[in-house]
Amino acid sequence: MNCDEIKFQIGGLLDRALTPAESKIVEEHLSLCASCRVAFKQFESLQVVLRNGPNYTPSTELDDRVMSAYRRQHRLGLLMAKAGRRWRMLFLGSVNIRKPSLAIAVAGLLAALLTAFQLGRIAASRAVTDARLHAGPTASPAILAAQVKVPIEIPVKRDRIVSLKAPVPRGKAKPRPPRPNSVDEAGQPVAERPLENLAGDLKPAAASLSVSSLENFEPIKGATGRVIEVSKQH
Amino acid sequence: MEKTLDRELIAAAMRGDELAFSQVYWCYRDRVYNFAYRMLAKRSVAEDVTHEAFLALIQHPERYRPERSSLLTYLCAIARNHIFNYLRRWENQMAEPIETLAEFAAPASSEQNPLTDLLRCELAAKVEAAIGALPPLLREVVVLREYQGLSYEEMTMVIGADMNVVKVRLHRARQALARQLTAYLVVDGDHYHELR
Repeated sequence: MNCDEIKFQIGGLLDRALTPAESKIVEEHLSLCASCRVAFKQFESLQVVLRNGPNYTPSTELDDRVMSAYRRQHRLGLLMAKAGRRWRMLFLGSVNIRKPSLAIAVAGLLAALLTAFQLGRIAASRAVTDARLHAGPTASPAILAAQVKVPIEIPVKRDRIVSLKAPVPRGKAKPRPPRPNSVDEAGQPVAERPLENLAGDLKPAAASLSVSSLENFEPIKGATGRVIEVSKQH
Repeated sequence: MEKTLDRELIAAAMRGDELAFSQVYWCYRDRVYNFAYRMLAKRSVAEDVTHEAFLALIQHPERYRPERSSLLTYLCAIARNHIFNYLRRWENQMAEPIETLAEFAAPASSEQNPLTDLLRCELAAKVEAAIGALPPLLREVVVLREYQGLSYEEMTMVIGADMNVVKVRLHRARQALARQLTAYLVVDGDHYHELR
């Protein structure tokens, strides 16, 4: 060991933190090296000076604060224990849960499973609905029969939106006011006609509802189209 | 105080035995407070830190593990966290050193020599000023070792650092203090001071 290493070990020697072998090496070096001996004496006297320092005492206010905090905490603990016993008697009666943390964990797991199951059901039903909607109105007769109001994402001209109604017996048809979205080429409202009178219009109207034909339409800002009511095409 | 006794006293205190808690408090109050005061040099803040340390013991006595460390180590570790939080918050690392002679003139000495008392006060003030001038990381190891009397292992628990780190810091702190207090230290075999 050189002098620097010995000086580093002097503190350990003073603190009795060295092994006997290390202490012996350091002491032998100190007996031979004057500069290290001076450093040792410096550290030794510094230790004495430090340990003779004054002892400070806090104010009595601190004692009051700490002891009152203890009393308050103890009272709170008693109250909590009492309240806990009451709640326990209220909910569990005489049932003794030996491992409350395990019971809470099991309850949490069950709640998580139930939530996941419900979320799965909702997601599945949404997926079925989306699939039906994306398939288009002509793909699935079930949709047509279901009379679902289908929002069409692509804006279309309003004159392409038609309302297909079930046939009404002749002579009993009453005139109705035109629907706002039933307009002709010039933008004038068109009165509804019975289905058999729409025989010529049925095909183009049905074609206008397919996505491929809607792509060619000029979009109108803010306009949306939807199938209002579909029933009994034949 | 032995660890087993500490454990028994704390267990009794948890059951509501105020006497047991007051025994623990009076045993460690001054040591925790002195640690905080020497680190911060502010009475009110040191009292707050001491209060927080004991409050942690009151509120969560189960966190103290007698098999791991002594109660003093545990309390000093809590106090250290609060001390460094304070130092980080205010960034005034020992802005006001403990150097008011009035602090040291107060304790009455059994000796009748007023000169000796005055010199003792002066030396104490110089020592406190030298400690206050150290960086906090060096200051804490000196205070924990020389004033609290903690071993190296206990210091590693309080500081949360490696043993070698503790040794290096302590060595550097002693070197710095020895440089600042050369006039008061012995060098050539004489007594370091007539006050001894």
